[in-house]
Amino acid sequence: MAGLFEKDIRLLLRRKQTLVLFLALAVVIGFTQEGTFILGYLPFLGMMLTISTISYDEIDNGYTFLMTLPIDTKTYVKEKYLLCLSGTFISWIFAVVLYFASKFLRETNIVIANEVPIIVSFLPVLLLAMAIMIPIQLKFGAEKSRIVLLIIFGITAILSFLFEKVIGAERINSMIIKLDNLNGTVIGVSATLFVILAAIISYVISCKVMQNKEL
Amino acid sequence: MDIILNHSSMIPIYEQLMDQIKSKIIQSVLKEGEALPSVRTLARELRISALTVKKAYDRLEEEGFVTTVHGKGTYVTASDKQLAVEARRKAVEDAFTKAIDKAKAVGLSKEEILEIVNIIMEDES
Amino acid sequence: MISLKNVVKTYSDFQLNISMAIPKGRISGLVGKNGAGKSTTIKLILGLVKPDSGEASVFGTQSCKLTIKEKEQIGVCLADTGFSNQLNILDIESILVKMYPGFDKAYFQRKCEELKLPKDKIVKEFSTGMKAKLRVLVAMTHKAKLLIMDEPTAGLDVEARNEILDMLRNYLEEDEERTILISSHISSDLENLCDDIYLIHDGKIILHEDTDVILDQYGILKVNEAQYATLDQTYILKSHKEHYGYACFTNEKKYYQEKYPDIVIEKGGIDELILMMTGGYR
Repeated sequence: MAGLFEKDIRLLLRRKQTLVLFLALAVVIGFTQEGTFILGYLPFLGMMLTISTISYDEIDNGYTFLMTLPIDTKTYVKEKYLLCLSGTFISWIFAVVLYFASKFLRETNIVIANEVPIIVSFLPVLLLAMAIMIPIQLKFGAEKSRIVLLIIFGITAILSFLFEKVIGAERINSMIIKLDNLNGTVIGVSATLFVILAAIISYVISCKVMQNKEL
Repeated sequence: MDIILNHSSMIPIYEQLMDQIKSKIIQSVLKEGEALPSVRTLARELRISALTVKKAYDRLEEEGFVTTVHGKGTYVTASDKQLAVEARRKAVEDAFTKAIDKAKAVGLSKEEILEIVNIIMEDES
Repeated sequence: MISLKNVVKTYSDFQLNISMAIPKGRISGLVGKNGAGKSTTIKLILGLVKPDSGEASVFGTQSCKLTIKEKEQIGVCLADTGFSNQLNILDIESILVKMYPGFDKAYFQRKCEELKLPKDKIVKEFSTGMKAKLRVLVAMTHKAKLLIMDEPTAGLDVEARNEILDMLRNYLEEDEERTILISSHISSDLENLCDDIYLIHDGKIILHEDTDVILDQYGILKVNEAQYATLDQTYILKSHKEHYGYACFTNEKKYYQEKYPDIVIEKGGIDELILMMTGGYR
């Protein structure tokens, strides 16, 4: 796995221009935008960047050669998840720093304890996004997965529209109010558990996808 | 080892190799007890397959010119002058057999064959 | 070392059905026309593809179940793929260090110098010849016991080819247990290197013979109609109609040389073997 990390990090470093742009963008957005936009945007960029190493592996039958190296499909998948998690997490830390830095410049009264739930709440969402995107990228490759994601968004939008139509806006509103009234911690913990479960399922699916790949 | 192989010749490669090693031994260029290069080394130098070299070495061992010590290598046998003469004699016999077969294939009779041999030997003397 | 027992693999337009056994210390060549099944065979041996039936194994282990330790003992050079071409030599060197415990960094660096591989360009900018040399080198620098090479000298000029072949010969000399399987279109390379040759055609092995037997005993008889009519067919493997009569492929050149001294007999190398046995000899 160390070899795979070496490969992916070197590939990412090759794209120095993209990284520099990424950082510059981060700083600009961090200081010009108020609010928590950067806490979601930056880590999301980090995730996309690390996931893009999958497309490098895919080009020119690269997978075929990789599988002749002393690794197996499980190791390959594990490395991708770890890489993505680290990349996303590091970007998130960076985003948090920028968030607080820009806040300090604007306000004087900052209670860090109040901010913690907000900044932490982005993590499960990011994890969920990762859990969805990695298996899709592995199965469909860089090109097709864009289309697949669009389709998924489309289907989700249609489903929520239908859901609303069938159940009715009022009942949805009352459901939301009920959820709001639930303890914040309960929501937080159950959401986190749900996302961790999603991540595990995602990992298992990814392993299956790689095992069945036609080389 | 300065062995020169002719890849365009009709003589099989392993035979050419055998002949040249044999003559080196007979002429004492390769001395008794001296080690021949390993199969792979000679194969590399001559740019031929290792199996071919092995075949040659095996045949040379059958004819008593070399001995292979498992794990150590192949060595020129402590040659008896007799052995060398024996081998040379056999080589001549083989050459004669080939020539006679050819002659028979063309349709020459025993007398015609012997006549040819006489003519050639008379020419030489 | 390598064993394929009645391995069958079916694709929509093609079926492979072969058996093969390559012992330790051997260097075997795999030849055949494009599409005959060479790449599929190699993929089966490496466990990249699963057989529909039969057993493919390396080092006694099923190819699909090779452990990481076992894979460390295999060096692979595939025809059209390798490390990402966005990397350069230093990148690849650092990756190999972490991938293979047996990686010989000094040898790798020395060979890159000798083969004149540019240190500052990414592989995408290499010429075809350089890319090929790098692929071969990567397979040979971690002391693998088994090398599998798919068209290692394709696209190389004569000098480069000889460099590679010499590297392979030296590789074998260092350790007698090392085994190599090479597939190639360049027959002269195989004739000077391999111990034996497998000829694959339409998914089947139609011939397996020692190289020196092919070079010494195989030949082509060129006969006219009259000679063909009375020709002893005992050792004729295949005949092709030609404008002058027939070209007959034999594995007992000597027999025909002695029996028919008047008939034109040409030496048979691997190219002739392929052409005669799979059709299309001129």
